Amino acid sequence: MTEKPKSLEELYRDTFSGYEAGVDPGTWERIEAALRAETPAGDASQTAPAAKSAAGWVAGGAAIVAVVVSGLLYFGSPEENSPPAAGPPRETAAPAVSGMAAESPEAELPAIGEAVQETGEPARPSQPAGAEAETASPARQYFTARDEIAPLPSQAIDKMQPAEAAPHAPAMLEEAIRPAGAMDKPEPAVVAVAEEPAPAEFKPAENEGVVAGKMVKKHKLDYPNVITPNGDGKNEIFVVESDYIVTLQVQVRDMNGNIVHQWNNLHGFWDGRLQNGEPAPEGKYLINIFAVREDGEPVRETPLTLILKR
Amino acid sequence: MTDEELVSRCIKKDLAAQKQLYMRFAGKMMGVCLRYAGSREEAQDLLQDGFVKVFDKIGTFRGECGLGGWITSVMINNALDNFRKTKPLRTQVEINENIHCYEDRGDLPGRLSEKELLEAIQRLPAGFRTVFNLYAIEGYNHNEIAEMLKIQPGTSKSQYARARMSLQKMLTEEKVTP
Repeated sequence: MTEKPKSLEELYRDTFSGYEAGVDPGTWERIEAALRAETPAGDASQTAPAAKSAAGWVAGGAAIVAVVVSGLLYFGSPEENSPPAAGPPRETAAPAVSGMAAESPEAELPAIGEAVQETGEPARPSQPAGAEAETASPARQYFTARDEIAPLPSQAIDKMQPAEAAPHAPAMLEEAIRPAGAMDKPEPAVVAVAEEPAPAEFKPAENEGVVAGKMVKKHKLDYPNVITPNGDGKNEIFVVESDYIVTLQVQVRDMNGNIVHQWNNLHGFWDGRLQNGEPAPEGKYLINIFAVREDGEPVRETPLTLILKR
Repeated sequence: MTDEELVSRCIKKDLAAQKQLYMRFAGKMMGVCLRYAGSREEAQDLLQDGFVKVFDKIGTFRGECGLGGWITSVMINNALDNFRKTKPLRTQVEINENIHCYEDRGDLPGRLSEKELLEAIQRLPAGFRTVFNLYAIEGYNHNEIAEMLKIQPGTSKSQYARARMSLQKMLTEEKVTP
């Protein structure tokens, strides 16, 4: 690995993807107690704990004997270099289904659908969203039925990894940005001025394909065309979202063409402030977006107009 | 014992198998719970409840994403349940309104320990922490997170942006002041 500083996301993902932590002693005993409380009396598993622990002792004794014997064998016959059995290797149980996402999104589809069906049906009465789930998208079904456990989208861990950027990216950006330099001619794609605080006007995402766990794979960039950075928690910032891009460069310019803010990573955003930290005036701003897809293809959005209201 | 054997014995509520499964995954799952909890005690509770749910629902395991992945998903769902029950997102206090943009790249000290990263994430308000976990580590998108937490996608986005800024601030400041 290079010494290059990591982004916050990389740092957290890398640190915690296989992270293990110590557990307080006695935890299993408490879980066991809870399990026993749940099991109806007379259940076979409950019958004779004493007998079980006795069996445990016997097994333990046997194990010790086995180790001693194999140890003796080991030292006794050095030509046999098989080490004493130290138990099965601890499985690393990699939960991240890394890689499988990009390979064949379609292949995952039936399995997921099945799982959703299977796990989704016993919607418990306590769940208010039960009825909703029937008509909803797979993603919705997945989450409303989540109490019944659906597969985990652990795959997605890979998603945001800035994979190899297309080598021609910078050049392409220059190209993409250039037309925006001529700010005098207003873009035809000017968005209608929103008179009232716009209710989350996101471009509709085209849903396409299903990746393991990750229910919906968007093949469009998703961004607001109005932001209202007034602290009410709605449309506070301009962000570009997409699940399939690996690099993202964004420039925010005022109508005179001056750069107000820019970023070159997947997680940047604009909070409606100028570079000096002052709130930017209300009005129109021009946004240039340049992104590279997972497959290396550039995505170029026509320069768009962002409306800022407070 | 293979995963399948272990699972089928757990379905029969075989206590020895249950314990074995627990022993195998407890450390990793504690690692998950710690990220979603505000404290070690809370994580410990999440772990305990989570495992009870694991054994409760193990009959629904279909092997799609591996046993470890499935157990992780039960743990996360359990953490979300707990979050929804105890801390409605709407009542979350908006911390510092005074947002300014941190430059995004290269701010972070190269080496931060697990402990430092954990402490920072645990200091976040529960809503920020949950959204950050789901988005940055688990890899859900904002629409999915909005579904899960019954909030607007925009809320998820702004919570995430704020979580990110708070973390960045905590992690850089901690490094600067020895």
